[in-house]
Amino acid sequence: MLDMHRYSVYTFLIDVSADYFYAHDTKTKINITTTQFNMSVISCNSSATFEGFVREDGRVGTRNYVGVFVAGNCAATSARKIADWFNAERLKNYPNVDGVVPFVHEIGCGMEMTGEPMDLLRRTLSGFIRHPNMAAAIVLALGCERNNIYSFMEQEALTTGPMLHTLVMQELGGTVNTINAGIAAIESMLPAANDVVRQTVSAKHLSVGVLCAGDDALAARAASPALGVAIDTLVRQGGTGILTATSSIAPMAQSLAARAESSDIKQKLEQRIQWWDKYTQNRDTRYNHQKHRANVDHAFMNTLEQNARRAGTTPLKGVYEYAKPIIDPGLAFMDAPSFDAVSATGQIASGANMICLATGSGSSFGSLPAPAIKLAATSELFESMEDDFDIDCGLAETGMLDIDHLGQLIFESILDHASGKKTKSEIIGIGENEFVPWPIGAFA
Amino acid sequence: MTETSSNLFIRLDPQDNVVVARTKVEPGIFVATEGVTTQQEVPAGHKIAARVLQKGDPILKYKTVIGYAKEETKPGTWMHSHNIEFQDVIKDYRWGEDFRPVNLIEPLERATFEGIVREDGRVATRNYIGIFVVAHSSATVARKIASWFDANRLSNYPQIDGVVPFVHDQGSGTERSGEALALLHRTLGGYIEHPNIAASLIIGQDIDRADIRAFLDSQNIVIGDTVGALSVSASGGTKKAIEAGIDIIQNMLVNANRAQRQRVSAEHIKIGLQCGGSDGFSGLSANPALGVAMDILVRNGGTAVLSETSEIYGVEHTLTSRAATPNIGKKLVERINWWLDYNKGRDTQINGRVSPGNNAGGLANVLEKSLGGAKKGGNSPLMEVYQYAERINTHGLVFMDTPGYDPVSVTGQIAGGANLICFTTGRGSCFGSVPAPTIKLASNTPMYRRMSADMDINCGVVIDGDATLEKMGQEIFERILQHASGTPTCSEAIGVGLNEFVPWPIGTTD
Repeated sequence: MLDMHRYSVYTFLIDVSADYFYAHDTKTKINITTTQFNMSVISCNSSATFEGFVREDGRVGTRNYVGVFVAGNCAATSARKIADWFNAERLKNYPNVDGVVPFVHEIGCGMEMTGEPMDLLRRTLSGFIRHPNMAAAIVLALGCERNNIYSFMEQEALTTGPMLHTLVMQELGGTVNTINAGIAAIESMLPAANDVVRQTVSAKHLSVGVLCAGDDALAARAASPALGVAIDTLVRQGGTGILTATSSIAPMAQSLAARAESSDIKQKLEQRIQWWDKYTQNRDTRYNHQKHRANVDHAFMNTLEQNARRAGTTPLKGVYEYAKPIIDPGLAFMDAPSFDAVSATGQIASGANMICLATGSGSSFGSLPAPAIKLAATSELFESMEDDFDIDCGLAETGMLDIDHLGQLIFESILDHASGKKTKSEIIGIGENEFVPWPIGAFA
Repeated sequence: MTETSSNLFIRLDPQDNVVVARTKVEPGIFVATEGVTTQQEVPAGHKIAARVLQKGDPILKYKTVIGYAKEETKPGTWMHSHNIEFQDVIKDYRWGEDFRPVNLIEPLERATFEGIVREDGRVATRNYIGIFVVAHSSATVARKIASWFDANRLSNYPQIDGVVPFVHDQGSGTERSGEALALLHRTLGGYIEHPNIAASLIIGQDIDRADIRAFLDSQNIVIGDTVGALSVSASGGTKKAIEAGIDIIQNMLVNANRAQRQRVSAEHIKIGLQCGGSDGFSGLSANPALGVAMDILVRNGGTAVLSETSEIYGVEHTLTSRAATPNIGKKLVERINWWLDYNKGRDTQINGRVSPGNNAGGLANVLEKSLGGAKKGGNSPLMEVYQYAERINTHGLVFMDTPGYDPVSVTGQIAGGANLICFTTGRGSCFGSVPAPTIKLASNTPMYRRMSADMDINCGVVIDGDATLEKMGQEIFERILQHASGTPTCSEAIGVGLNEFVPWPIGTTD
């Protein structure tokens, strides 16, 4: 094998590693001839594609869900019960529907009735309702919430129709009536929701939210830089990468700002950081901790910088507030906490149709309706939690792969999963509890 | 002009200058008892002026100021947030001056119920196994372990009411020290130590269980037969952790099933008081009737926990005057001042504007809402003021500082030891809670009928003229004893309560 010329060596190694993480459960049966890694997608010059659902407005979904939303926590139980009704057996005639999912949250009442906290909640909800991965949705409300369902619909310019219903519990006569009405509403939506076919589309329709704890020293070694290579490839294809976690970006904001395409974008980034300075003033937060440590600890700063590479190296095309729709393709920064569930919720609300999470420690994360691909920073972690991780980034440390090729493998994996191949977290069934709109305001 | 029965409007006090409509009243209706004619349509539960009001006149309901007239107003005018101005009112706190000790019923003569007596003497009203997460990241693991134990798999353990996931959104993005984390920890600790929790499993992600240990140490909880711990990383991932968790719980079932009910004194009942979706009737029927029931409970040695600080704002002087000591009264006012500062400049109810449902139901502002809301505590002396989720160890009427937001408020009360919740509503509520069940009380008959599967008790009969507050209060007390003894409430029958565990997210989220 050592005698092989360079190209063959790569081909072989990629074959092995492709087998290794695509067929983890049969990894003892690695056969260099079974999985031919598709080198064509690696080339920057050719155009990468995936199999997606093209919606009427031209946006492209990677999954096809029906969502059950709540204006406030008071409707959470009903939402879960409606969604639970649609088990695999009851959905068996609708094979193109990936599931009926409850998107419940803890807020919506007892909060500020107007202003940014309510605006943020509303645009998060509507971002999910409008998401290309959402074929249909119902929105439940008790009826007396501070997040009034009718003013929510109006503010977000959402109109009810065959694929979007609202149900108000106080009008319908309580929990049981609402559950029954919700089930009936979704049953009426399922045939049309099922009437979709995947078709080959450009990778430019992919919007990938990238997640990694900034201080994760293991992820900084290979996982984050390799994920960055994948995002760079995606951006070159016309796609979008969404970087979040302001607390870990703030200490290196200047270098990110230097990549901003305009002074407006740069200024917006600075404004968000000023907002965080105030938000976390005198509090024992990750933001303050990381800012302080980055100033005095060079190695820590280096870790933050390496992990910021998870979003690649392309110019910064936009800075967005939490859950605002991403308008321009390319690399976007969205202001969000580092807390993975809150961060991913903002990314998905903004249009992310895939999530990539790199970590050096265990993670039970999953997300819906945009699935999460999980990258283990080390082979040891990958092996110890093989039901949870999709990609073993430790391969880059064994000398089997360099960062660039690992990045290309990640890109390939994004295309595969975007085309419908289930991620590990989807197989386990994680994601219903990870919808967490940022609770930014005061409770009352 | 149409003349009609005086029954259309309720006068709450001879000194009041507004009266409340029992039902929707058309314009141009002559109200004989008040000698006024309605100037506009008046929705049910809303108010009209009973006499001429000059600009700036205080509006009196229950002889209490709920705001000031915005303009000169003709008698019969519909009075609501559009013409009632919200302003600070001057309050006379009378620190403890009206305190009278409770006239307790002799221990042997007290009311009783069928409770579960734990080894250490605490008394439970239900018998659950709880699954807790130190941080949100283990939520799926907790839910999947709990959902394994369905009715079928628990069929051999009839004394166990269920295996329940208590998941929340905190822990991962929470501040690393200070009140936000302390509050989360004492909330979780309060549930684990709750008499209604027979056994618990605590789940974290750290491979070395550092996250679980930090929590356990903060609450002096020790792992043992009734408290298990599970690390997702050490288990080898999500799927294996779920399997391991199922095993741990399986081994707890036999012991948890040994619980037996026995007759005990009502002094062991601790009621968390709530109102949600209040309307103009709440303060006339459900809240004062519940107050009567709480006065009976307190005379029987039990505990009533009034909360929702922003919803007693404006009538706090009625509590400070009957505080057992001036200091207890001052603690209450301190908390209210904290809230005013915390909510400064925000569009929250303590600053006046109540929820759309409250407003539609006839409540002009937070003062009017508070006036009705505070009545559910009854007239007993105020014995103590607690922080959110702090363990309650005083009997009688006590106050716990919580937001008005129902799931957050109830979570604090249960963490404090409440073993039943009484929840009044005018607009209708679909609330439920676990492990302490919720009894829901309707303020009006039309809503009770509309939401009959959710409502346990109809206090609307007081508005209809079919029962006095005293009779209604006695009936509520009897129902409390029944539900404390195991009779399922409406929300338990429907299966509501697994999504209403919401520890107060008081800090920032990063």
